[in-house]
Amino acid sequence: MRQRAVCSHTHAQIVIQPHAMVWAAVGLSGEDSSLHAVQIGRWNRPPSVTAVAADPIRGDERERVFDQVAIVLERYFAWCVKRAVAPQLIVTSSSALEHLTNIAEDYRFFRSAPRTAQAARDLTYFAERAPIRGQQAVVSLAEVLSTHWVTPLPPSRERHLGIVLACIECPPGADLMALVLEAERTPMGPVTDPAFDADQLAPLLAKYRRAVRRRHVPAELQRRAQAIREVMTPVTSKLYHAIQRGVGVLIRAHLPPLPAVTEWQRQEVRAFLDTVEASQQGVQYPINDRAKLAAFRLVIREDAQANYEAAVVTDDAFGRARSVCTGQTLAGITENRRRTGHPTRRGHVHTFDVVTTQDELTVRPGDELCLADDPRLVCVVRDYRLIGGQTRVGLRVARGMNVPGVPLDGSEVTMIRAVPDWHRLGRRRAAMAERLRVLPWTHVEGGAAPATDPETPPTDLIRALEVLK
Amino acid sequence: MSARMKSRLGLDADVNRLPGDCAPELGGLGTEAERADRAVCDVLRAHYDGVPALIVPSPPGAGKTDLVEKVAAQEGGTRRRRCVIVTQTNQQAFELMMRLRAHYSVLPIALYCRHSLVLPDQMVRSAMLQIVHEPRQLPTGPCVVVANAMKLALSAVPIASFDLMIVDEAWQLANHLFLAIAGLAKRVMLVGDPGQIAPVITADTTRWQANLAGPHVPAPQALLATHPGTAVIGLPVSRRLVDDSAEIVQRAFYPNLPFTALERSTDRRVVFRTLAATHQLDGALRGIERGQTLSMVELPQAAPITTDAEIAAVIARVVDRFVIRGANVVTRDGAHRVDGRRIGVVCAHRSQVRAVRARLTPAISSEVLVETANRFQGLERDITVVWHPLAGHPRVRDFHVDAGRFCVMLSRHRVACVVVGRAGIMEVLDRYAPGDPPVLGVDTDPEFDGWFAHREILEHLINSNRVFPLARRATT
Repeated sequence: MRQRAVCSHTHAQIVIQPHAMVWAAVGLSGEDSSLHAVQIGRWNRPPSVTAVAADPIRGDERERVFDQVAIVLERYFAWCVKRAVAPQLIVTSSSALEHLTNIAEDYRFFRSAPRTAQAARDLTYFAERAPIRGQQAVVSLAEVLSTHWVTPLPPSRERHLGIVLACIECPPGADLMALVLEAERTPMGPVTDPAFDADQLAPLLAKYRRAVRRRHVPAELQRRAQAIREVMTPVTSKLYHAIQRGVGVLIRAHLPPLPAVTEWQRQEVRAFLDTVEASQQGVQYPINDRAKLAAFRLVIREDAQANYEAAVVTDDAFGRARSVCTGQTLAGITENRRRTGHPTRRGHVHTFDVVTTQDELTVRPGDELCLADDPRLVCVVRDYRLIGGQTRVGLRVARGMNVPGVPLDGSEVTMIRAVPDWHRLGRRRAAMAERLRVLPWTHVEGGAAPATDPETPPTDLIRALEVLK
Repeated sequence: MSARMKSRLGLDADVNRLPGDCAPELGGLGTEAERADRAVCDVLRAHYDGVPALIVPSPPGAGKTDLVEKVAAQEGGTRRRRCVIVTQTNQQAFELMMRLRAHYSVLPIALYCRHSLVLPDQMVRSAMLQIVHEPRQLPTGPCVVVANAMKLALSAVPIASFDLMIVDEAWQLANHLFLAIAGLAKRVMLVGDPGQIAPVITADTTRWQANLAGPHVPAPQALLATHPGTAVIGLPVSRRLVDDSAEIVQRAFYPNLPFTALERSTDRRVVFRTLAATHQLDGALRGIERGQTLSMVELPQAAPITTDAEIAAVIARVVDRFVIRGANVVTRDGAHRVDGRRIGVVCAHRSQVRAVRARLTPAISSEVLVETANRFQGLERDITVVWHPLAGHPRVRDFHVDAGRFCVMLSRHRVACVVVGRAGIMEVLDRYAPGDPPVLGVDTDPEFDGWFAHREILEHLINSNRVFPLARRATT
């Protein structure tokens, strides 16, 4: 086994903002949306808030923790609005993000506890942005690191931030597996270690609950709550420090950002300011989407996915190499450049072949490809033939035959599927908004269809069509 | 059979239903051809009755495109209405245009597509086809317009511009795209094959997993969820598959869409000029000659690998064998020789496609269609050779076990289908441990359905002695 992870990208897909906040939180085992302990702070700084609920099931304890979270997030959002920048939250892994999403969804309509609801509403912004590829609002650190580095471990183990860090920071000559096993002992997700739960937390929690039930004096309750805080704080501290360590690794790699990151940051600011404005007008994220909202959301996600894939292939050298290896991108030498008269109208048809030795080529007749170095040249695949160990792909130029022009015979070319189109989403949303001013009856639950008058059909329906032949 | 499996198609038990007094005559009366024709007439009549939405689930090769043409001709020609046919790809639009023009020469037809689209030479040369790029160029009177769903969704065609919208391959149209185009016509007809590959959605759809009319579900399924009373007329007869194949395909993939075959395996069969007595591959071909239209060639178990060179080589040899052994397809109308153009190879992965193409004999490599299941949808060949999607996979995973993909693979043949796989697939299926339970309120579980279909097919092949093991030396 190779003894450490290898950086597999030439460009970073995410930029850690100087003001980014670290979110290290754990819930109570079995209570998916509980917030037992949390540490929040800016990266490269100690936590500004450390809050532990003695018993997160109790309303007053929960509200006390959420109140502190709400204060931090409100201040941070106000700071971002003032400077017209988008907030950024760093969590350990996708399971931590899931925990954050559960909190956001379960508490944002909590009318009996307005501060809890407010904190959940603020967290909802991050939960809503997370599924959009290329977003810069939430950094799920284990995922980000395992995207930029290739580890010798299966994907299921790459979800643990500690393991990913052990792979990246493994010193030369060290036993990687020993480091991985050591890292694995510290949970990096939103729940505590079952052994810790059984041996330490459960007895303390039981004592605290007993004291509450028996109405012990406040000093005694405080003492028992303090005992819980003392065991829980190190748990979140470990997460907090692992995140700091991970961010340090990402920054020290000195990967220049993908050109697309600038656009993603711009989108992020716009999404954030729109959300703040909507929130001030009393608009809330619903739990269940109606047809129109769901369609818009899915279109946004699909467009983001397409742009993300295109951006990585276009601008990241490793990304493009990977695409060549998987056959999504065509790389080869041009031959047989020709110009023939157009069959029906004035002008010419420009064609050329690309000869490649790629093993796994996935292009097929009808596919559109553009020149990676100058995407103004767009070609359509006419055919492909396998000759010996080579594939000859016939291309017909659809656009760009004059500028940048058809490549000369013998040129090395790389033809990619697409480049990012940052205006496509705007066009699509505008078209949808116009079309969906009135929702069609087919998408309104129980909506009545427009009335149409029946007509008498001809006696022989098939024969009636014969006259059209 | 499980309730989950039954609801997979998004249809309830009552497949054929029409509102009011226009219900079609049902039942097993008459010959298969009469039943097929009656279903077509029911669909045509439903439009005269003014049915606002009609769903036509169709088994493989039941004449969907023919039905779409007839309904379009009725609307645009006989009834003098405006009709739009929505396809999922430009290629489908091209083929439909050419067929409509060939079959209904006096019908006013227009292709609505983007300006930069490169059209096939055949279409460019045809002076009788109108090609438009802007909404204002669309014909103003009665017409049939063909366009792909995305083009219609993004264009500024006004609401209610058409009297009828026919969505071809509707089970591949995601609901969010249907929402964007549904208002363009007063009535809609959704025609498609509910057993095939679901719409490809690249984004995360977890948020809507409990929503039966979510933006990611196929359009007919969503329409039935919001309007359970929508009229449904199933096509009852497959013209492509013969009875031997139709029976098992129906049982495994269409538990709620009963259909039969128009022809029996004795009426459409393969005859070989000569077959060797001892050649292992010829053993499988002999089974086909005996009327086993679905069979399997099984290689010995080996280390799991997606692009297995040995399987690719065997597939190439099976294809070669059909040609070398002088296969002829014999039907009631006569006999014709099986050449490369009549054979297709269906794979799960693109890399497998290339692996097979690289191993085909040069003489036929340009004639044999080798494609993935996704690209094979809507196509047919006399003979198909299928790369078993679970061959080379140590465990059941959603992509490889997908019922829609396997259904496409096993329903492209008109005469015979040979599946090539490795031993041990049944053990892989036996080891299957169900993953997360479906979310509350959703009865469908694609992974379970796929597992069920794979098991059903494999059990059928084993129990009817259609699995032909291949010794290792025969594969080299």
